Amino acid sequence: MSADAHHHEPGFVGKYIFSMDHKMIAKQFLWLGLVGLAVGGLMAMLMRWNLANPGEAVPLVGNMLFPDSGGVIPPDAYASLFTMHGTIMIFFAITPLLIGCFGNFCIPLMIGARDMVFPLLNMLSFWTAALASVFMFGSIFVPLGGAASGWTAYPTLSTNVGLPGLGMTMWVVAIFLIGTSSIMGAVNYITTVIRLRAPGMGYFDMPLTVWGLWLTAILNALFVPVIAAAMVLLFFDRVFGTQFFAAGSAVVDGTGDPILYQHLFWIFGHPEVYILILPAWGVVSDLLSFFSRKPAYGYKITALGMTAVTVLSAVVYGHHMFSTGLSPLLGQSFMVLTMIISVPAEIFFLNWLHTIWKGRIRMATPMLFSLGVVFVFGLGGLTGLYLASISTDLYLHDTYFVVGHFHLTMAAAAFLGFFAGLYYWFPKFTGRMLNENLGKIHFAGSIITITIVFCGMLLQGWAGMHRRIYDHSVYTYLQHLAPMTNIITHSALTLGFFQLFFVVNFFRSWFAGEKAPENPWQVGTLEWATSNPIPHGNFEHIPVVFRGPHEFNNPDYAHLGRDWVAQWEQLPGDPSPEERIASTHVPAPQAAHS
Amino acid sequence: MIPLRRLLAAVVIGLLGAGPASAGFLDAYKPPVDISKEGHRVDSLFYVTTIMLLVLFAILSYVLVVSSIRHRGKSSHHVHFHRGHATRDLTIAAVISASIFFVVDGNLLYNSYEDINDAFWNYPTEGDLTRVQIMPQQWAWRFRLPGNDGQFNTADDIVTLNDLRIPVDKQVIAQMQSADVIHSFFLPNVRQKIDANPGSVTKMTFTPLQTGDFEVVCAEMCGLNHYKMRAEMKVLSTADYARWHEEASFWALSGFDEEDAEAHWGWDWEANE
Ligand SMILES: [Cu+2]
Ligand SMILES: [Cu+2]
Repeated sequence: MSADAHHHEPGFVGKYIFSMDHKMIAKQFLWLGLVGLAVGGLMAMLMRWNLANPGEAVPLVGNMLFPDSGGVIPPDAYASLFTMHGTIMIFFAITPLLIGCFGNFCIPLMIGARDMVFPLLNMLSFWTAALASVFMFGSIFVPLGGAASGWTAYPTLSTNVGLPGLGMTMWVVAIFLIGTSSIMGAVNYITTVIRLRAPGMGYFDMPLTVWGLWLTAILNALFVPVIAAAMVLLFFDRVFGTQFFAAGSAVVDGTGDPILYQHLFWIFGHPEVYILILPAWGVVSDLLSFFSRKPAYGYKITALGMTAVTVLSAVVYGHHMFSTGLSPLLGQSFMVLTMIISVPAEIFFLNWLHTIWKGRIRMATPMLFSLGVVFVFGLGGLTGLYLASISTDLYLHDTYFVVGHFHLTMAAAAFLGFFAGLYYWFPKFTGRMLNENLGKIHFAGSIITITIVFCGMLLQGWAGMHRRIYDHSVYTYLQHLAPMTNIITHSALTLGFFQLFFVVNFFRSWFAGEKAPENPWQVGTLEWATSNPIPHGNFEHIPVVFRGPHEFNNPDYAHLGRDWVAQWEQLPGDPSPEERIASTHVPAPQAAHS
Repeated sequence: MIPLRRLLAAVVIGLLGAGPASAGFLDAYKPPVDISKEGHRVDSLFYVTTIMLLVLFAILSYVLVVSSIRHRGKSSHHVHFHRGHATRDLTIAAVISASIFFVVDGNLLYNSYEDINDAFWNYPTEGDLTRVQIMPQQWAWRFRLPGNDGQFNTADDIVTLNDLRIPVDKQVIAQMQSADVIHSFFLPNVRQKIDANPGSVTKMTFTPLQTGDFEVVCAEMCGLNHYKMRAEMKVLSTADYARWHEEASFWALSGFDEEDAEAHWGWDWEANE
């Protein structure tokens, strides 16, 4: 252990730029993700402006962004906006924030490891993501415009037939690169969880946050290669004139099949929605317990339920393709499989409700955001049923009902989960607390506007409003929906405004926030076993784990005079470290990284 | 401090008041008029499911609100220490989930199964049918009806742009494929959509029960002018349709140009049945 103290100090470049320390890489992913979130969010606001005021100049920034059209968003720019909004939010905001940042920060600290098992691969994962973002953000500024095919990039629109510009090609390259980054991260996370758990920590002693991140990593490792392959084929079609996805119609004149792309895309794309939400599920499962001061109800069942969803997510993707002319047998099979996924999801959802019921809830900001996740995910999950059923999906597919549904589940729930985690771990991250009052305003403003925006979209979708439309006033049957479009736009802009409370809070607290106590939330998971600032190698001594992560208000420990017990505490009646290690079969990691 | 019970009561009264008000408000957000024989299947399934889901959502909200208010921090009540690991706990969770599955999901599965087999994906091949071929392109809808000879791809085919005319009360069967990128043929008034792909033929069937003008929408992002890729569907009375069809077929025959390859995009109907 003492070898760690002699570790030679890396220089500025080694410490802040090409760092191999998981905590620094987590921070790098955090900054990347926050930039992505800001850009993606501003794009959403531009779109909302245009939907409520089609053909009117955007106030303040219009002339700067769209000088050729006098500040008005033209239709081609609108198509680029919704394409880039989706892509950036998924791959350059949720992915770096919940997977890149939380994965890197939480996994080693919560399982009691000194770092990731492959620190060099970890660094490469971040720099590949950084390179991908150069291509992605750069694609907006090249001649002939950026990608404009929607984030799903269906051929033949996404081939040279529909979008011959360099921007679309750069988009394809960027997705391939960010996928490569994800795979590198995934291999690292999976191996780290298997190899580097602290002595005595069985799989069912891990915090559910780690479970969520681990399952996400498994899905990433299995399914991101599929979209990477699709991107390679699409790249070949665009650059080398192959015809994998070009079909034999009059104009396109190819021998391939555009539907093949949709299969490849959704084999990845459906697991992707779980890739994005599993970390948030994990974080919320933990935080609901931590702040209710109760054990996570049915901990093992929640972990296994999330695992069941992970497994099933591989076999339901066809529900995205009911309207492509899928064979009825396939359609019915995918419908049944999709509905089955709701069973394990309901079970752990019930566990969440059980966890908070009759607890002693501390309404701190992380808890508020966690409850927000339960609320929006409940709404989003329930509305998914209409889309799993072929009959209703034939009408609702590609309407705002779908937009409302997936924003509630994988956008709102994921970002609220991110904020829950950020408010919670910020003291570990920076040694300082985020301001609670600003945090509560941020939460209240966000949850109300989110509900209005996306429930409004559900209503509009049910009324038949189709998506990716520059100007709905073209259609008579949609005219009466204009007031709701206005309401949604106002709420969306207000939602954006309330994020300023977070921005102010974040920067002020990072540099001048109140100093955090050692264990501000009185929680006994391993990241709170180490001091602040976290020393090199994370732990002075790797702790031995004696119990699960959610030991609150256990009557057996009432004599301690506090309502929590840490995972690393050896109390009278506990086995000796040797006995604990023998009974869990989890010894100290062999080739410990120095 | 506000007494919590009164706060709750206020919320309940507010909700009760807001209920009828919002019902009127929600009334504005329903789908356009259903003109088809099959569309009610979607509507009724949607409404029944919505009622069941609202019950589940009310339970969820109740647990969230009550635990947030009543089980808050400083209250001195006894914390219910319970791991929920007993077989009994798992059984309860499984029974609740299974009941939801069999009632809500089961209803959706059963009805969807019936709907696609009896109506939406039950494509007729014979009988008295209105047959249409559709070839969308960026950014317009081309429709082809057989002329007086009843055959596709002959000189008297009626070819229209963004203007589909069909007779009322007669089952329609449409075949479609795209000329360029993927489009999606969406009839909000019929509650159905199907993609038109390049290189392969897809189908849609429905029976219009109401005359009038209705909108055809492209529901799949297909490029710059996707947003205004719109057509009219005119459902005519049997007599009006017969009159129009007779005339249109005559003019089609007289205006037929063998050289104009662009206009001969139709295909062999039987091969794609
Ligand atoms: Cu899916
Ligand atoms: Cu189109």
